[in-house]
Amino acid sequence: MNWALRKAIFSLAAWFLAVSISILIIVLSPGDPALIMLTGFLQQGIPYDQAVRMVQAYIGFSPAEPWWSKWLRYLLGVVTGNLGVSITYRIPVAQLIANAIPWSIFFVSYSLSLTVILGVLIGIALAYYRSNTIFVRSVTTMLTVFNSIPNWILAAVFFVYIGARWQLLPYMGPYSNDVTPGLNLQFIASVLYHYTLPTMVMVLTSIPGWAFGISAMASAILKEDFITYAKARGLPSSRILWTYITRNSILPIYANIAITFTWLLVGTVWLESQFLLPGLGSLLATTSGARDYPVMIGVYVILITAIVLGALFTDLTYGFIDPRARVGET
Amino acid sequence: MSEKSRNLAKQLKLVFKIFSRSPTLLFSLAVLLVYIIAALVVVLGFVPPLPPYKGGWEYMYQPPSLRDFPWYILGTEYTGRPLLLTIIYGIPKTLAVAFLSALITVGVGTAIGLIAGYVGGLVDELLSLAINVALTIPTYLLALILVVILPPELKTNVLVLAGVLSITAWASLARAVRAQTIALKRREFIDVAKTIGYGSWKIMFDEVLRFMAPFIAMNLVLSCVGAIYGYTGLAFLGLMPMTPDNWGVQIYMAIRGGGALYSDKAILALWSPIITIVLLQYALINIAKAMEDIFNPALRTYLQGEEM
Repeated sequence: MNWALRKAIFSLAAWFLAVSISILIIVLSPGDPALIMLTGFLQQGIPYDQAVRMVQAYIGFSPAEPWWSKWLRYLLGVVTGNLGVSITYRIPVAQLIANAIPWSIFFVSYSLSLTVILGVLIGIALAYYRSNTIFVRSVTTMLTVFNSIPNWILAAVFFVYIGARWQLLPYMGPYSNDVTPGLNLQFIASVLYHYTLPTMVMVLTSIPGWAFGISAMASAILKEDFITYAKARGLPSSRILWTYITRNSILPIYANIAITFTWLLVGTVWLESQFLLPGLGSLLATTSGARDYPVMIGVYVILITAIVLGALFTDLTYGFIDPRARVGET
Repeated sequence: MSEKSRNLAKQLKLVFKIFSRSPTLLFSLAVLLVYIIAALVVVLGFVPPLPPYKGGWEYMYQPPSLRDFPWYILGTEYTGRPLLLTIIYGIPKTLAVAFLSALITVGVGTAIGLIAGYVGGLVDELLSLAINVALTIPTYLLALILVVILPPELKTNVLVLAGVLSITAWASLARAVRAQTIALKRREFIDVAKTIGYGSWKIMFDEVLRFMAPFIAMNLVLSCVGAIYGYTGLAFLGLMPMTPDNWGVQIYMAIRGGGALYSDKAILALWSPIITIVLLQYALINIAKAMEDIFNPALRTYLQGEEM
């Protein structure tokens, strides 16, 4: 269990440094949000002392103090769960974030599991049917095309055509107006239906990486001696395909789950705001447009936290799946 | 013929073979060439200047016409300027941001990876920590925050934008270069170089780097893809200055302001910048993939074996 504890401590240190450095970059950049907010309040005719106190109440640190004090005070707020108050919504940032988190968890984990499952299936098919040139060529071309379409462009195109123009799938909001949110079947069905289009965009644009990676691994494994031996032993090809090839292809790129998770999480900024879905991404996008700095920085810190947790989770589960990862790792 | 030039000729032959084998790659190279020529044409001033902004519904999203051929063949965009001209004006700036950002990303990533891997010890520990921390910060996320808080005059500066778009992008390359350097360090030719009396810097940036050059070149191209994604994507969120020559802004306006949602009026203004971006990304990704193939030993022996 020692390796798990070591990983957790290492993640905590990485998280602390990542948040600290980001806050320092933000505070030290020519556009220190506290100063911008102060200028805004002063322009509204609020007296200087009161404006300074207001900035401190909103964002957690004062524009007048030195950079290290701003950094320390904000970090202290992060640790105690106090992320300041939203300027536009006038409620605590922590509360806004708490409302948004479940939606993003649902959206990202839904897209992530579909991406991994479909990506692995396509990758294995590419390697297994590699003698069928037409199949391999057409699938590879399609994957490369989807690889070169930025997810926000695919979102915009689907939004305009499949949604607004052709009305094939819902394209605005997380569920229809006639259901009551809660643990009832109609609500869940409505949410799944409304997330079809956004999830399609997420999955289509992140499948290529998985499919290419798995197919490269599987092609190499197909040439291994133990596959030939398994065939010689007369094992059914389905067993060879699933337990021998698929499992061994997933192992080396299992860690990519964390990378895809991060990529999808960042993607929510564009996708949630495009399809008017609640969540961390749309919260960041809308508050960026409104220059609501306390919320922006708060969401940023939470997203970094989620990324560190995602990487730690992948690392730990990988250690359970592949015992080799537990020894000799630094 | 000396050994060296024979080797070079052999390699060129191989590169040519891979190129001529794949029509997709030839297409991609042609596309990139067109973009580069267009950028040069704009920079050298062969293109008429952008006409001034014309407000009012009658000037927005006009249908294609043959007026001032060929600038109006895609009609006009949301400021009443010719769409084709604004798209072409976007090429040099986008390519400049992409290339500068890729240079910074690859330069920083290679240097940190090389030094960490070659020097080792405490330096490696510290640099590895920096790499791991940077890996947890997604570039586009920090870039988004910075683009919002930076003052407008900095946001339009190509160098600042390139820096912002590569702020933590160097980390994954640094990690890969570090791992490869550690592997290469154990090879004999490094010992030979040391015995001859080469200094660490010469060994690092000459002997070791030469082995990784193809890998680094591939990353340079992929970093361009990433920078273009960030540059246009952040503009699409409405966070960049609303200059008419940013393709992301053009798509944003076609959807939010141009009524692409309900009519075909802005259809060209929506699709032209989309195709411009996707075509460029497609070409770059294919070129990066070909580079990977050229230096993939398995494929290389396969192709070389064919001629024997």
